[in-house]
Amino acid sequence: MSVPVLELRGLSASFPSGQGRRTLFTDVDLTVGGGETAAILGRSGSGKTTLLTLLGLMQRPEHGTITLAGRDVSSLSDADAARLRNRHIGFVFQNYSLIPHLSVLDNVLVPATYAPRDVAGGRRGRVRRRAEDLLDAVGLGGRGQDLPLRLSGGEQQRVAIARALLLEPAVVLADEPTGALDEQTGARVLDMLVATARHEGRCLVVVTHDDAVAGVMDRVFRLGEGTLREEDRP
Amino acid sequence: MIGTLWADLRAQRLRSVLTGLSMLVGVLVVVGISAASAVVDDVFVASAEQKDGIAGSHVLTLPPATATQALDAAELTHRRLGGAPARLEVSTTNPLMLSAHDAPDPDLRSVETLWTSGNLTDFHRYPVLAGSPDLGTGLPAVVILNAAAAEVGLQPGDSVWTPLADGGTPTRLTVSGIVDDGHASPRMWAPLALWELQQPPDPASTQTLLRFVVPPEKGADAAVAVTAAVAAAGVDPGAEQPVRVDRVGELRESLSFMQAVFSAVAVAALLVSALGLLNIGLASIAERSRELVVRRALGARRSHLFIQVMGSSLLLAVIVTVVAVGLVVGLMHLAAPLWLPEGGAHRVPAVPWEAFGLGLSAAALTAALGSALPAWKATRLPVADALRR
Repeated sequence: MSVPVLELRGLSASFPSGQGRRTLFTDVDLTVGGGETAAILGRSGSGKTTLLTLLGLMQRPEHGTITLAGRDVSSLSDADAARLRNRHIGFVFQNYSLIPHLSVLDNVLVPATYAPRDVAGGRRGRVRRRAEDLLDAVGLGGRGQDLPLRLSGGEQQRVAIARALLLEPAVVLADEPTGALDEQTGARVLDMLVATARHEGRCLVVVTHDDAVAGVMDRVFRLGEGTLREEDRP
Repeated sequence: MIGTLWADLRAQRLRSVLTGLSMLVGVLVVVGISAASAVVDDVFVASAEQKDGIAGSHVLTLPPATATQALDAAELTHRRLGGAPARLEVSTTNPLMLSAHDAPDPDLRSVETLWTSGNLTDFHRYPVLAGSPDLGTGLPAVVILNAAAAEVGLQPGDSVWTPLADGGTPTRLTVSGIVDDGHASPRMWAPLALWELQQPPDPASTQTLLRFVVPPEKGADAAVAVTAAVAAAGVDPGAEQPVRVDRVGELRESLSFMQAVFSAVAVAALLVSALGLLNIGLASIAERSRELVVRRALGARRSHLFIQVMGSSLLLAVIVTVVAVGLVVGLMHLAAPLWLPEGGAHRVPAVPWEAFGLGLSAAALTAALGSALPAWKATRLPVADALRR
């Protein structure tokens, strides 16, 4: 395994249920390195989304630690977590989640809106050129001024991938990236995501319930019965 | 960030336009009141100051005195009032004659004459049509004419001839200035020093007024100082006391009352607008919750969302203010000249920058009040919802 980028140690999560709380998972350990791709499989209600929100620093763990590029990020303030998400974590959502009134290019540039100026390099600077290059790379060069409404589902997901990669994050988290796509389009999108992650040395974690999607990843983990177990790959 | 705010407004065009219109009513009243105050001041107050004297004008009626005593009284009053303008006016009921030609002409005109000193515009808002409104020291002998007296075609530098006494030899005076005093009948101002050359002035027909200008709130103190100054010059004021003669105070009081009424209307309109903005804002946050939590997932901090929601309202406020000021300025410059009297002491209204500032403040406050809660709610959306269906 390459140098660990993302590490979970002893993570636990629960949610309120009736008079008490219901445990989703306990003592979850996970390590993913740069350039590695991992899938987290599990049936509905197993806690995949909750695990992803923890990985994405969208909520703090009740127990355990999360380490990102060697730094403990388990108990960051809301503002620091947002900064870290912006700079080091890219998200690809199941339903693309593009902003409908922004153009394709402006959608890709959304993370730059919240990045420090030395990173963003200004709207007309380096980051804008990177956005245009990314659109070219995902096969949507020349569509920058279109609105998302005029794109197909697969095209929108490719825009979302470009957006996730804009600020060169160390980690890319994808939540059912092919869930809203047909089989053929989904396969193309997935290939693009995996190839980019491996080529650019990023750590890719995909949450899915689809075994076919998991089969493309370097490592597969299954979340169930309150635990996370890595499955052997042939 | 401005681009993001503008995109937010454009994304919901109809809603933005309707919100802007509701804000426009209140802002228009605020801008209108402020601008109208300036116009009213320029027109009505100008007219009053032209006719009766500028704000703080007081007059003390004096018994007949020599020109020297009169000038001394004016000078002492000027000093006792710390340099405030003061002059004597002697108006005669036996009018003098003047002609428009370079030599005496038996075809003469009667002109009401005010023997006085100093700069006429220190006491009245007289537009200066030509030359200077200052009588100076009276030498060389000059006169200032009003527009009616000069309508025969007189200009500064022209000579007029007038006997300084009934049946006396006409004396040549030079026109030094022409002012608009708002009177339809001819009038002229001549140096007080020359009045004494009238042989003799009829005390019964002579009225001597001491006119001075002080801030209205200092009128009572000034009255004491002026009475003492006049006595020190050897002129006994008797039981007479200075009285205020300008009407500026009354006009401004009436204006203040109307301003208060319209201001109350404006505040009510802006409050209603703020409530509407609040209602629309809360609905908008509910509709945009998905977009906002995705922005949080992509790195937006709570402060970013607060600024985004509040900022688009403030941007709308700026646009509304510009429109309101534009409408008021257009009305002032296009319509006002149609009903303003020709000539007179009023000025063409300038761009109402104070009105712009007031309007912007009112609009910004309304926008802030109406969007603060929606902006706060936007920051409380749980970012984890970005991953929930």
